[in-house]
Amino acid sequence: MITLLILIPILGAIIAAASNTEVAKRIAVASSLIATVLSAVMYVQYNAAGGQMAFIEKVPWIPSLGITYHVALDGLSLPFVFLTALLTLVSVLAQFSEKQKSFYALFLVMQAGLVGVFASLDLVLYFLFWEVVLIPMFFIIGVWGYENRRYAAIKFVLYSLTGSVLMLVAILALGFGVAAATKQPLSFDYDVLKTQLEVIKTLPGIGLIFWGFLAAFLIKLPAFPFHTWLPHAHTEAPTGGSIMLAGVLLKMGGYGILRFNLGLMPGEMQFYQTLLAILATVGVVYGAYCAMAQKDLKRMVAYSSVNHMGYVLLGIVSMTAMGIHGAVYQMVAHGIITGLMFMTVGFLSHRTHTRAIAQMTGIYNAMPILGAIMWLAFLGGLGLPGMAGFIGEYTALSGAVKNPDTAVYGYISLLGIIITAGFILYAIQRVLLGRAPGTSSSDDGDTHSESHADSDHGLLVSSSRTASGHTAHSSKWHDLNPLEIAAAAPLIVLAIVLGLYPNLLTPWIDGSTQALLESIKTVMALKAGGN
Amino acid sequence: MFADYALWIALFPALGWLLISLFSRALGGRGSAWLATGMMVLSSVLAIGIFLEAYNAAPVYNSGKLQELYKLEKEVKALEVSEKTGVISSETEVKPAGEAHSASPELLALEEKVAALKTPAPGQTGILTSTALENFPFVQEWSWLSIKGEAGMPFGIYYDQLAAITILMVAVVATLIHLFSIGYMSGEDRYPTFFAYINLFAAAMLAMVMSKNLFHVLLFWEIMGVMSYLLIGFFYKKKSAQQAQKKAFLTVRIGDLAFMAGLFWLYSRLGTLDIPTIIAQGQSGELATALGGAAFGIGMLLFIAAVGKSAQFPLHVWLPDAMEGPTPVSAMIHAATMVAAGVYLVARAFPIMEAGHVTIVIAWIGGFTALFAASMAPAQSDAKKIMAFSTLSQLGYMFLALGVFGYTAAMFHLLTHAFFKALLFLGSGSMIHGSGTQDIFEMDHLAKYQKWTLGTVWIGAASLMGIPFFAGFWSKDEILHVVQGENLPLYLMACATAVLTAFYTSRMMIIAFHKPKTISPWNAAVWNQQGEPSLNMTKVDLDEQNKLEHGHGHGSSHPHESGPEMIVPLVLLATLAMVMGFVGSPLLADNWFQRFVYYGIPEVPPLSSLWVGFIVSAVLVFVGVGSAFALYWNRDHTVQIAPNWLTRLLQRRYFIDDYYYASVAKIAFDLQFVFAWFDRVVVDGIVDFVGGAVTVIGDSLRRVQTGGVGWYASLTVIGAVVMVLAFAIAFAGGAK
Repeated sequence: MITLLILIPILGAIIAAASNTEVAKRIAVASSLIATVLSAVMYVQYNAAGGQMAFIEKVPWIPSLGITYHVALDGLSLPFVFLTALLTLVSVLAQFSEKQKSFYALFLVMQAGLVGVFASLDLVLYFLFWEVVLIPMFFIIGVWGYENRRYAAIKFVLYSLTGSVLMLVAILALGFGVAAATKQPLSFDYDVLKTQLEVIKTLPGIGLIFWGFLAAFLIKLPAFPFHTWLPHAHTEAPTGGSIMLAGVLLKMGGYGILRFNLGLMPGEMQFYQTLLAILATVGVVYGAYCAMAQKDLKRMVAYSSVNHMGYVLLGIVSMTAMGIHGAVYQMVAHGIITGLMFMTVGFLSHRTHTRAIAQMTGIYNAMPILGAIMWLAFLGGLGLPGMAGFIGEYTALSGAVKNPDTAVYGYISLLGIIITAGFILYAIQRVLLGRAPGTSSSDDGDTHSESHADSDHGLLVSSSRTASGHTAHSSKWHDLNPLEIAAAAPLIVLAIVLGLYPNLLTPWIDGSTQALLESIKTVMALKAGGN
Repeated sequence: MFADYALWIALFPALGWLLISLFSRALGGRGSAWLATGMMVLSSVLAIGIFLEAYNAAPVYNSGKLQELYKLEKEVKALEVSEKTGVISSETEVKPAGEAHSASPELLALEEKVAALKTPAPGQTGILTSTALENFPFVQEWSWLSIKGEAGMPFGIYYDQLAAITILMVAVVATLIHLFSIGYMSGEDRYPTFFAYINLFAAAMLAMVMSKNLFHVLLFWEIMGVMSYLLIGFFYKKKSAQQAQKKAFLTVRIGDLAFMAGLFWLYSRLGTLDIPTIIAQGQSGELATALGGAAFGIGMLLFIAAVGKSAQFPLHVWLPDAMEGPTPVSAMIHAATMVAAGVYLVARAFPIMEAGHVTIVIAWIGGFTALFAASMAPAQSDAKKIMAFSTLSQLGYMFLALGVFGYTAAMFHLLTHAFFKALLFLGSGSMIHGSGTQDIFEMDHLAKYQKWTLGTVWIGAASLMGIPFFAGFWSKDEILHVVQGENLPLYLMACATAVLTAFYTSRMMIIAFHKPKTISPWNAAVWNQQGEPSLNMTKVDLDEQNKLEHGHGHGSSHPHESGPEMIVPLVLLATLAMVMGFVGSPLLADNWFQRFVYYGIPEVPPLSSLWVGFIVSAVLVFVGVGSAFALYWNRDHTVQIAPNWLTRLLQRRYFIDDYYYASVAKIAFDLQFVFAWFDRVVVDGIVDFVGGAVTVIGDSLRRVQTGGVGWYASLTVIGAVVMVLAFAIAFAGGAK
């Protein structure tokens, strides 16, 4: 099944590359739709309560080096596999008017790579997929991006490669180290390594190995201070690229920390807990403040990811079931909600030809459907209860507080919530509210006495802007077309459903979190006893 | 029977929201409005049904015996105090009933009587006439967010007396306000949207009240908050509405953060957020031991949440501005229901407040806000702003009562206040609708044109002032009664508030209804967050302003009475406002309310101990009303009586808003520039420096600089692969 999930998009990519653009985009939609349905079926079939690995496929690949083709999924990876397929579909739909077929082929390649990343249980295989994801994204940003795309793409790749290299070294060191210490044949299999947690704990240079993994993940997440590639990449990437980047690529980091740093090296995790919690907390507050200062709407959304990923890191390092649940829930929620935010911002800048917050006003008035969806997405971004992000943030922080060692960081991170509220409301007010440019107060049909108690402030602002030539007359803008609404609809529904009914996600996360925590319990106890 | 479907009380309006959001085009304006109202009617009917069921299932107390108990306990208390001052003995500090201690025989005898009343011997009658049915309070629970090995957050319904009475109030008031809005909001641009919003708000409020888990209280609490935000900014093209909605959201969010922090702390200490568990542990005393010193902290955090939501000092600043919303919204959300949620939360978490001794803080904050807000109301000329300050003040009363353990009194006032304040707001809506202005000075002798509005608003005003036998009289008097026995300074503050309330309410009524139209001496609408009060504007300026601000959209220049769609809800509310006073009155209903909603054991003071209080409050009201009539009835009401500095101080709300803008808000806002600079220059600067250095080295080594993206890409990929191989070989070599 998993192999199928990887092969379908690759096959799609090959066909797309071989055909013309019109066929290519339909192939892209069809193959990602099939993948979405398939992964949804797998999600439902999975026995969430047990929390064990399922859909296992294991074939020796390079036995001499101990490398196997070993893929499987559990409750921690299934949500991301589904998210990957869904967001690919949505991204393609959101950018249905691209002229080049390779654009769609690249998305499919990236999808295959992402499924591989979340499913691999062999460290070398994992690394290969990790690198596969990088290249399509590089081209998507570098070729289809905005004006400053070259700088952004190179920064993205260089930064990511630095992390990858460190991770590869760490993977090799871990594999060879364990083999040497146990006198067993060399193996990079996750399950094999999982049985050697005590050995791993005492490996020489385990601290460096831990940081090798962590470096790649912290860059990907991104955590402060390794986040500066993100605003560039996000801002310059085309809409679909931003959706994938925020929706799934960042999750590779959080997932990696959970699966490898916590799963294989819990002792080190505990050792560096305070440091990581501080990084997370700084990310939360710092990311929110930087977002507030942005003048570019897309950049603001990008920085808000730094803030949101701070909660993820904090949830994981709390090492409590509640905190990890929150981290994973927050990652899924962020994928959906921030994906939606990027989508609406993309739709908007496509129409207004600007991303500058100061040059937009009255969007809700001009385009009610786009305005309403954007409003919803932004409120979701500030952690509005009733939408998925709130449950993620709340449980992540609640988990952090539950562990006395990280409690103080949990409380401090609450500050991020109000700062986020501040900049999101500010953006909503500037961009969405007010009167649409080019309309006068007389033709908007407002007849009630109360609504007339306003000064003509909005009119003055908009007319002066129109005069200065920045903002187009709103009558040229058309509201969302059915295809664009169809692209946004699944994300809207998921954001709200997951906000009101966590039973659709929590059992999956919790089942596997409990299994993970159970497996590292002995090592943690050893550590505690040793101290 | 009905209780099994309790969830539908909230689901009906939620369904209304969903249907209107999806199909507003097909439904049309009227269709949406009636759908929303119909859903609320269904919800109300169900709420009434479940209320009756709860009424039948709840324990019944004997009024006479309760009064006896009240008297006895007073005597015990008095004796204890006198004996403690007489003989200082350590044993008298703690005395559970039945334990031997060195008390005087009289005290022992009294205590025996108390015990006999509380737990009567078989065959004798105690305070309890009949016990609760087994299924009461009604509880339902579903799995929601479950973490293995922890309590998690199951979603549940907890329907006790407190919930029953609050849900009944919310459902009925909301239904009437929906009905009123059909007429009032007609002709608005986003007419269906408005009904979708208020439907969802009602759903969230009802769900919050019946939530069994504090987490869900928070969840629905914040949904209410966001609906309040959306509705304050309903006229979204208006700058002042945008500012007001943002201010409201952010100010309340400070409280919400405290709420979250409190829940985190509570969960880490207690391991559960289940309300019945907290109540049970509170009764058995386990809660205090389990929480220890944290009880004060948790209690304070939850109280801060309530302060934010109920707009108590120092987070009161958002409520007056929130009057930017349409008047039905002000009536429903910012007077009757949402702002009372803070009071409800404190009542719900009362065991924690008690265990942590937070009550004294609650009492002082409440008492202070009551007086403080009432002092600003007489300087306002916008009818809705006057009502907003009055709401702050009345909510302060409720907190004051809670703080001195007047649980029942607070909830009683919550109930009566919801009805009479909704009435007053809708009435002022009718006044605004009929006269085309919000400024009471510009309202032209409305008594001549609006007979129905006049009558109903006077009923509301009389209730608010606490004129004997109107609703507010009974509930306010009960608050004064409990405060009197507990805390003298707070009692005096509460009395002063009562005088001020009577004063500013009468002033508003006189000027709006019984005085001809004049140019407002201070044009309230000009006063906003940025502006100065325009006390000394010339007549030309004012005319100009009036033209700009109060252009009445209905095309009528002379005052007129509102249509039946508005008058019917007003009359119904007026009737209910009258009735609600009597449910807790010692005269007619035999203290029914006090015997239904209580914390621990109901407290029913005998009538004999209340007469003095009745007379005192009647005198207080008389002083307030009298001075208002003396100052305004026969004199030119536009002449400013108070000295200029005082007016200015009160109009600018003691400059607290300005202070917040200049200090906290400014610092919090400006920090962004520091962070952004640091990010751009330091963090990203280092990255670019390192990256640049690497690129320069790489370029000079390979002398390849064609500039194409593809070249850079292959360059970096090749470079990485080389590096990786080098590392791998080096490591493999080392491992051997």
